[in-house]
Amino acid sequence: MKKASLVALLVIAGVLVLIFAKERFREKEEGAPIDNCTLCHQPQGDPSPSHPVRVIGCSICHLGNPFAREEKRAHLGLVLNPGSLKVARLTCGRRGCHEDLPSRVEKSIMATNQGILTALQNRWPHDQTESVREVSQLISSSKGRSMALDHYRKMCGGCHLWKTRFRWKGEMGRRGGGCTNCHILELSAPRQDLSHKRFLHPQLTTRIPNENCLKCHNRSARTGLSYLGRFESEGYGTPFEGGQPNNRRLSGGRFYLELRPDVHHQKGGLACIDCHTEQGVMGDGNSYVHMEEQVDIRCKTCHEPEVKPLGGKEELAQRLKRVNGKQPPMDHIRGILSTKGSPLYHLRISGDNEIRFYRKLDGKEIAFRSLRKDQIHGAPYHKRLTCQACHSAWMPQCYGCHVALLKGEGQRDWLNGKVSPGRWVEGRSYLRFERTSLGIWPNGQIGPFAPGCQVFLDVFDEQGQHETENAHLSLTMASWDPHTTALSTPTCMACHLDPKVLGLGDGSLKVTEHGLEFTPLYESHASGLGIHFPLDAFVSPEGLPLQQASRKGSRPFNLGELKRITRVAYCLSCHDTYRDPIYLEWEKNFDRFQSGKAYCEGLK
Amino acid sequence: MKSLILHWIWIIPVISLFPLLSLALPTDSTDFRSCLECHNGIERMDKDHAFPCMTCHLLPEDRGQPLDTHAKVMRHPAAPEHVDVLCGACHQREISLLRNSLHYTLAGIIGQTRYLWGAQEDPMPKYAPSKHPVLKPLPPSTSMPETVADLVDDLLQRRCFRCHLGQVPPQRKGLYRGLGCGACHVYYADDGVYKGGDATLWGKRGYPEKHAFAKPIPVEQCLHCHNGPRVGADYVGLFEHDYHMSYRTPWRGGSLPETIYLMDHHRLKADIHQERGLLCVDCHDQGDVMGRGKLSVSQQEAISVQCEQCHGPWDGDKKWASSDSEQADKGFLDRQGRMHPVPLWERSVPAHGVEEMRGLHCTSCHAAWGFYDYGPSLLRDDRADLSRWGPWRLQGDERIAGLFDQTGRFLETVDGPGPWFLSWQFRRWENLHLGVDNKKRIVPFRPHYQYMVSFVDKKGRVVLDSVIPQRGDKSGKGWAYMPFYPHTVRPRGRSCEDCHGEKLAVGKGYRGEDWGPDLPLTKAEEPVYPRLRLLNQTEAKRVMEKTPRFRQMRHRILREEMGVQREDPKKN
Repeated sequence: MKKASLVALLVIAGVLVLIFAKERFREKEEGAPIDNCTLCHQPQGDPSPSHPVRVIGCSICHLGNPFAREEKRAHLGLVLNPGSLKVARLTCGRRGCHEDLPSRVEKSIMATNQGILTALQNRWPHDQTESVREVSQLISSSKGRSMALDHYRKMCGGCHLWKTRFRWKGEMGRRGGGCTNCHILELSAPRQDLSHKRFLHPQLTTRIPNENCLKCHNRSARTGLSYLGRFESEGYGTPFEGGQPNNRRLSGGRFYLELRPDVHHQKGGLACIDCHTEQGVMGDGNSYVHMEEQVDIRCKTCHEPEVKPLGGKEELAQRLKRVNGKQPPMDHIRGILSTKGSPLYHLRISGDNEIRFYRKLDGKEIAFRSLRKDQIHGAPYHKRLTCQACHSAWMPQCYGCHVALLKGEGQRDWLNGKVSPGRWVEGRSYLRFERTSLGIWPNGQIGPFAPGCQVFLDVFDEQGQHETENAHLSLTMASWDPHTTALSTPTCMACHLDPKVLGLGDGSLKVTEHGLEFTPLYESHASGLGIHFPLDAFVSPEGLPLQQASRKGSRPFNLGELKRITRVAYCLSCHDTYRDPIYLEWEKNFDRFQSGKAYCEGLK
Repeated sequence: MKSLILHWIWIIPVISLFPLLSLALPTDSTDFRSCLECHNGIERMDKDHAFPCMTCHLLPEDRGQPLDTHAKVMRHPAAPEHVDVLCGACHQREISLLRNSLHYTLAGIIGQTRYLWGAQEDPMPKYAPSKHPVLKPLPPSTSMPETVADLVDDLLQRRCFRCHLGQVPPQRKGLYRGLGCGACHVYYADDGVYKGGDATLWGKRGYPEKHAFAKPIPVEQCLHCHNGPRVGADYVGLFEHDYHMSYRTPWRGGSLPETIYLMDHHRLKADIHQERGLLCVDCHDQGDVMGRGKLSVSQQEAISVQCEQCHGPWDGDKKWASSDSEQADKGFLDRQGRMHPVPLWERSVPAHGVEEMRGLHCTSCHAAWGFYDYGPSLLRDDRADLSRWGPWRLQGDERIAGLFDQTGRFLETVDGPGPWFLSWQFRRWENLHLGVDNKKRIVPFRPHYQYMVSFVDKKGRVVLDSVIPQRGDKSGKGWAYMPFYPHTVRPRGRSCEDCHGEKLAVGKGYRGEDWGPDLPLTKAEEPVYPRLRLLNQTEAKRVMEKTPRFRQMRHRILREEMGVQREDPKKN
């Protein structure tokens, strides 16, 4: 009897041990796992405090089959990068999570690249075989083989949100990936072998560091680079370090010089996202053609703020602030809205309308300056000037973009990842950053212009012969905010009498009663460019535009404006401060001058 | 005995073959002294040199007997090694003049560079590239250089001396020239092709355009050396492209542009004198180019031609000069026989009415642009694999250009002392600086140079890593800004604001301290020779400040140009 019960006890104990052991085999963490993924994959660290793995599991983002316990079945439908726009509606944007975002982001210009595609196709009028509005059309079909679109695929198509992340090494590999493109912290995501059980889970953030923006925004207008004070240089790589070109490098074999950063970065330590709101970057659900239509922030938004009760936006402001995670507590009863109505949640308004600015990356308070309403900024004769016209310290100018298509060679198409026939090569004439040209922006105000782009296109057939019928010129001057804001501004004469700033180009300018006499320095024709005006000439001394402008409605100064601006130099030789008495009552004094009642001989 | 007779049967025929053999051997019946048999149709150099060819082209010891090899024919009779023997009988005076001139001694280049690199205590002439009665040859380069001073002679010999009269130049477009006196006096076309009457030489590359003395010497001849970022190239409006491959543009003609002087170039506005057809030799006479007998130290004191000689001095006295004789009221007669009206200095020109401008050299205002190359980096790379330098293969140096193909691919490993790679930080043609020259005039100054020297030995050890040299007299950095007279003269000077109010122009650099580590290169450094200097504080202040006097003058100038009349102000 004793023996039988002992055996029974042992059997029961054994069965219990087996059951528990089997159960324990399934439990690797404290508490019950959500999916079976963690049987094989043990992430170290959560993607973010709001995405804890042990609460939400893995498949809520990465899909796959959370119930399966062996690899092939578990990995069916698995998504490595949940942020990819191809699956975002099922992952980040699933019901109950970030529902509104995928459709907004898909329409945003970083996903559609509408501006780039429109400009390219518009400037390639001799090859209008097809036309495409958005990048997604190019990915999902085999469309897009015209020269303009082939150029896009190979030379521009690496910078949009539909691009697959990590297919290539380096900067190109890090670009793309939908939501992940911006929201990932790169340093937390080394390339790892995921077949190992333990691995570092990449971290996500709402406090997006500048490096994420700079992956793409270091080309073309180079706003990201300029903001940090970097100027893509003439490529010498000097001073040499360690017996070779130095480490001040950019992707694509380029180098940079260090100039002055934007004052917001230099003095304030502001990141890109301190100005660029989530609505401005991810879009408001509308599909815009041009970047400036989507950007919802202007200098005025902060520097000439309109404080108002936020009303219905208060809740959104609170939520955004919470999601940021670094902001001090504050109410949002009153606040400032972006141009599209997004609340600037990192600004605190106190009782007397005093504004406090808190950096988004670390929550530090930054001294805030509102624009003084003084003689300078209230001057009626300068009311057409944008902030950027005076307050941009420099602007990257890339003169002469020589583009060649070599049909006999191949190059990778960044949209589908495959090499296809036709290689694009780019060269340039020369670079500058000094003495930014001015012209009329699309909004009618005066602002900076720089080449964007001055294309000299040459096509070579499969045998390397030049196809003269396809050679094409498209010279455009573009306007943008250079992101090189400075407190100091140029002297009066630096704009009023500098031919390069006026858009005539560098050279010798004489202002006479009959008009402008101008002798340019740069001899384009003798330099082999096939044009008869210098590369830096936006307008002729007779007021005729010599190059296209990048937007409808933007243009160089016309003759009347050129004459008016230069003739003021006559006054500026003496009256060259804003506080000069003649400017304080401008209209009255100008009338006196016009009617001969002013005494203008200069000092005795 | 019988065998002996039998032997003769074959001996005699064999012996008789010997004379026939001599026909097969090269005979000395081809006497290379009968030049005109091949070079039929070749020109006479000129009427004063109507000698037999041998008189110039064979050393005396080779003239007396038949010449069995063409190799003894002197291609360049006036080359420094034998100019005394071949030309000295008549031209001893000119040869002695030339020997003491900068063109022969390169005293400025050698003295300044060796001083700035710490290899000699002052920049005075001590060495010459070819034999000289007083100056010594450069010391041989050390095989294991450790310091910047150890490397300077190697740099001079293998990079700078390509433009020395005694050195055979690269056989590339724009660089073909003769040696010795022939470097100037015998014209080589830019393509180096002989186009004269000699049928044997016709169409061949590496020969003068004609077997004749150039009269007058064309501008292109001077440019065979005075190219690159140097006065000479600016006279015709040439400014080098940046070195990187991406600047090898444009491609309009369906191919890469054709280089000249081993570089691609921008064309900027040329000097007005060049547009009017004046040659270098119209201004620069024998005294300027070949010296006046005294050992020259630098260009500053060697060149004596002044704008005032033709255009009159500041006070406007009429003074004319021409290359042949005084033609007081007719104009300037150039060396091609053309007469040019000469605009004289006039007080009625608004800017000339400013008395303070008297102390400026004409080019301070009338130079439209200049060579502003900031921050040269010189790196000697002795490693066998130089593929990393492919993107910069085109930098005016034949050896480097030859190491890579057109796409920048490295072609062959290198043995022995490696090439000197040159690079810049950035290059500009605008925004001139000012300083004071040895005649106490305010003149344009330029960075010349701001060396950063590196050396990697053949094992890959970085012996020197962008080192800034120290001057030989320990007085400071081996960086200098030097005066130059840009040959980019235009009838209208630059605007007043180009210097007035411009920190850069007075030597204080572009903008301010918070502009990063690259722009301080635009700050002026002390020149090399003691009689030159930068603007002092008072002068800089006068240029920078908008004094009442400045405003008055500026206003007056603008008023006269704009035609504004006080009695009847025009509406804008």
